[in-house]
Amino acid sequence: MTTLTRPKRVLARRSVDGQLVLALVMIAGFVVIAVVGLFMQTQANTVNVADSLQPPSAEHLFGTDAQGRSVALRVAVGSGIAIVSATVAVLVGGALGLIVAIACGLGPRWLDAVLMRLADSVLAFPQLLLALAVTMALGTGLITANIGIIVTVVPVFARTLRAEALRSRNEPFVEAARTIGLSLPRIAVRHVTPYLSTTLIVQMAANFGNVVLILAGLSFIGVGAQPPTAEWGAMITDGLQNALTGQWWIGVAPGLALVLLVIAVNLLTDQLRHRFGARQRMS
Amino acid sequence: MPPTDTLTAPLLRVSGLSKSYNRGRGGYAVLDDISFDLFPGETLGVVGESGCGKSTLARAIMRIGDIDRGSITLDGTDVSKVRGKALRELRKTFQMVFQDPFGSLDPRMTVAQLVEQPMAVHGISDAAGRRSLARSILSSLGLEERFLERTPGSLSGGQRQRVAIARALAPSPQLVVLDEPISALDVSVQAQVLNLLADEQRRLGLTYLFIVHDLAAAEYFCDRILVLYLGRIVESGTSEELFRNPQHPYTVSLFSAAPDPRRGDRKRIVLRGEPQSKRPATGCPFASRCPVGFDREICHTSTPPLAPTAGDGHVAACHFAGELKDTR
Repeated sequence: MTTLTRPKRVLARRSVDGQLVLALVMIAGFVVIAVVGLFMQTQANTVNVADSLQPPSAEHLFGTDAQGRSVALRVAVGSGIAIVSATVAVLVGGALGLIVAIACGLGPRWLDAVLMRLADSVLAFPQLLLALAVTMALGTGLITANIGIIVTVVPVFARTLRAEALRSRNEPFVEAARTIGLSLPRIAVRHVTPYLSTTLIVQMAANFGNVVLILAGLSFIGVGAQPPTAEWGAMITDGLQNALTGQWWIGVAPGLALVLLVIAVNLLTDQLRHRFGARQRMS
Repeated sequence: MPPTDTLTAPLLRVSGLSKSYNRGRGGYAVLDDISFDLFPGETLGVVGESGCGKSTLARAIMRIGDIDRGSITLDGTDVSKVRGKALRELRKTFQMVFQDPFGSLDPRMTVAQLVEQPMAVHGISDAAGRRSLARSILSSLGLEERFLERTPGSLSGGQRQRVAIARALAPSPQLVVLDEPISALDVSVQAQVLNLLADEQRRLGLTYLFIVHDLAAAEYFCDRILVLYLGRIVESGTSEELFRNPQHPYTVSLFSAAPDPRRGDRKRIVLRGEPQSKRPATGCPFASRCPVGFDREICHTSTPPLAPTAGDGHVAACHFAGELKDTR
């Protein structure tokens, strides 16, 4: 029996670590590519009609598009745009969600009821649809699309963190802080925010991939980043025009990048859940 | 300090305190008309079985949650009427040590931060001054320098509880409510923590309200004792008098149930029926389980008031006080 179960256990542990390493390597790769891309934005937008619609080659890893721009370079710029906007959206959305959650958890009951009904009504809409509506109302563009996305993720953060914030209220150390004479805002900053921090980090990771997808989706249907911005969604739309004539690489390259980034972030999220979940139960 | 000393004003006066949870939804008063005085420098023990309202009493005095009726007067100020900022400032004068030393300290803070926090909140001294105060409080509790930068996670139960005590003593309170401070600890460190509490009381002239489970600890540690049964005081008196000459049948049975390693052959008083969770609408709350009064009509129809019995300041709420004798 023992000889049978032992190697299995070793394998299982190694695969958990392997996933984490894989996720981190992929994300690090995307970050490096993104930094390169953000420094080469002008080159990525330089039109060179003589070079148009070149298939993938050593010179142009993913070929060129109709305007003769290197698709690989544009994908790199796109990673920068995707990572920066998703990071901003997740940080701002997470921070606002945290504030709402703490207000629900520590504030009066009526406030909790009001804020949660509000969150419910926002969550009743499909995320992409709501983000689309907000973006349209504010006018198309990368920044307005990001605002639209933030509006849709705040209630997601608020909901999950609220449950924890409510639990924190009954934690003996939060009660102890009250008997010492701390005001509620100070308890929120000093004790409840650290208490929620692991959940917040996991939630940020969990929403990151989703936010990347929504932004690409908005740009794909034309309300997000506008051409000639090298945004993945916009590039896929651009690539569609050449898909039927056989220049598949223009649309497939940004699509592949999108899939890989989302997979990497979701792998990382799983690992974070795994680790933080175990640690939280210990303390 | 004798409770009959009329020259001293009580530090804490609780009168007519009632508290219920789920008010409005058929609320049941977990504490019913509790009144007592606590004199400066005294230790008052509160004993009783689980669910009798001991911790609720501690929390009510600490102003965690609201009370239904009654007043809690600390050093002339009605604490139960104070709110908001004024209450937060007043909290300096009454502190609490919680039962659970594992939950009551924020696991993300260091020992130094935990002890300095209450001083910082009440604007005591500057950062350097607070550090040296924290150091001296901790060292008087036997926690040396090297513990300052540790987190609670790396401390033992006894060490944590000493940090919790240091934290409670940090703002120099007058009253310290000890909610079963030793019941979560190993027997080997219980005595140590009790001795430290006694030392600090002598040194700083503290007044303790001591919620206890352990009758031996109550007898050793308390000047006076309140016996609580289903949210009512059934007996109170000086520790010595109460243990020597318990009057209420519940107290007698409670004492007889406490293990005494030197007298294993002693008879226990076994109560009738199942433990109750609620007081009956009329009569003595203990009547249905009482070895003395279960078959007496008056015990089921009229509620006995707290009345003086044998000794000095010794009161019991029983129609037949003293009838049941412990076989010790």
